[in-house]
Amino acid sequence: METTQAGMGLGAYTRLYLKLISSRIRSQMQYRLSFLLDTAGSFMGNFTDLAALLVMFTQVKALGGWSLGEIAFLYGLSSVSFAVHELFQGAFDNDVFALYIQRGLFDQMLIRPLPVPFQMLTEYFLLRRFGRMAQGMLAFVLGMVLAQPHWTAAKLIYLPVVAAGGALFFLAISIAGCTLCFWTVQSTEMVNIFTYGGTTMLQYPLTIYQEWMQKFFVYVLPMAFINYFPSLFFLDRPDPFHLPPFVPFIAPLVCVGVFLLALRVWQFGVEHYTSTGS
Amino acid sequence: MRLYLELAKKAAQRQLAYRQANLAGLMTNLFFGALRAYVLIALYGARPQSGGYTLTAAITYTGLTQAILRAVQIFGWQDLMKTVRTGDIVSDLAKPFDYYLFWLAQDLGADVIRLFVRGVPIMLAYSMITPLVWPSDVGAALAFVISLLLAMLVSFAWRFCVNIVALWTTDALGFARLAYTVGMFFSGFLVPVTFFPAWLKTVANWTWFPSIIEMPVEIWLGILSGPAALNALIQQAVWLTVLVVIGRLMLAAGTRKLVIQGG
Repeated sequence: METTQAGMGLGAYTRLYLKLISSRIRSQMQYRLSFLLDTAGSFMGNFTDLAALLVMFTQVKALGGWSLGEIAFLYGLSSVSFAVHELFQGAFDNDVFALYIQRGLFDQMLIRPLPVPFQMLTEYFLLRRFGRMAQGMLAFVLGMVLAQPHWTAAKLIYLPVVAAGGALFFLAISIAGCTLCFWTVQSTEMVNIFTYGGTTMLQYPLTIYQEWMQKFFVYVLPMAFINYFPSLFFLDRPDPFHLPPFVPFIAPLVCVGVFLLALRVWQFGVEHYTSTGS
Repeated sequence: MRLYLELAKKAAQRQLAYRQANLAGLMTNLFFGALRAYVLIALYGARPQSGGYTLTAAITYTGLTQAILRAVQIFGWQDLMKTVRTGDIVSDLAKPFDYYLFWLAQDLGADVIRLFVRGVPIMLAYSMITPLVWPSDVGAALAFVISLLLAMLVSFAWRFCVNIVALWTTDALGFARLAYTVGMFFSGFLVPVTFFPAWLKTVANWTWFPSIIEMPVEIWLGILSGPAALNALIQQAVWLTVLVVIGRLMLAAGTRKLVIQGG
């Protein structure tokens, strides 16, 4: 397999990627009404989450010491990262991938002359995922307007880097979740704890949760680096964990590290994969 | 009647067969329950009494909603819609039983199992971790059981209407996702309807969605008791009737169209 790819450079992969993705987009545009409803549904689905937050703030002025604006900022950052991940994850989705294993579609991928992760990423590109993105952006804008963070050039440059890092982290979780399917064959709802559960958890300041949960998400599965620690920097908030002051700035490194680790786990899974035979 | 019982039993057995999935789902429900409980604890940290709920009641609310969410299928259901796409609906309609009851029986069968494999363990786990509010007497417990059953029925009747739309359009899936989402919000699943600002509460209370989550939960918590609980049960029954009639009318109109096309 390796030899057949030798001729393809980065440029060729990029062109192929764009070509495949644009064909996925065109096919979704065939059912225009369905697409519009789906996107609206996805937007509403996540908007109701935001609405729930707004409803809660009709009762109080702050949650865990954070104002509505600050939480909206935190919330928007997590949602946007998650939405970017959802948009680009392709078949790296526990439910989808379980079907690939069950129906032998994954076996077909193994014999095609393209790297398997590349094929996985280009299997789907669901435009309706823009619904979540829009909702995340809305929360984010709300956060900006209400919290009025003090913007500097450094912060403005760092913001998209953090969002991209967060997306990589979520992608890493999805990849690791799919790897489980090599053994379970069925999809497992447990992965939802870290994907949907993760993004839901990150929408609120980490300190409202019990201590073992905080420690777990700072030191074991360091999801706090997706939005929480960078937000301390963006919003000029003190760090309740009293970690070294450089911590908000290593967030992208942590995310890339987790992503590389997930790819290794995936590779391990592929090497130990035995087909279901269907 | 025997036939429908048999259908319900089969659906229940199918649901029981997925042990690993049920266990994984349980863990997920518990995790989400914990997240929502902590958010509410933070909320009560800033304000000890909200919308008539004590903190214990609010924590119970997070447990109870997680416990019944699968039984009332708050995330929706598309099985019927799929048979329209595959064409299986034609043979289902031709079978010698009532099509509406055919789906209702299977739905209820699976729902009851979900209540026991997903709901009961969650409440047990919650009760081991934290103090909870329990129904105050036998009457309240009974009212809760009736209300929950009505909630499952209202939910089915609503989901039937959503699914049957597929007889008219190929874009029904997008519509369904949108409909379920809106329903989830107004049901009081994310935040109790009691917490809504007045105008939004009015909107919610003009829909059947609180019948699916808010009413059984508040009967359990004792927020609705006595005449108020009875009133809630009546509202649920009224909505059930309305939705069943609409669903049946849609089914009749849809199948007529199917016949004309020679389906």
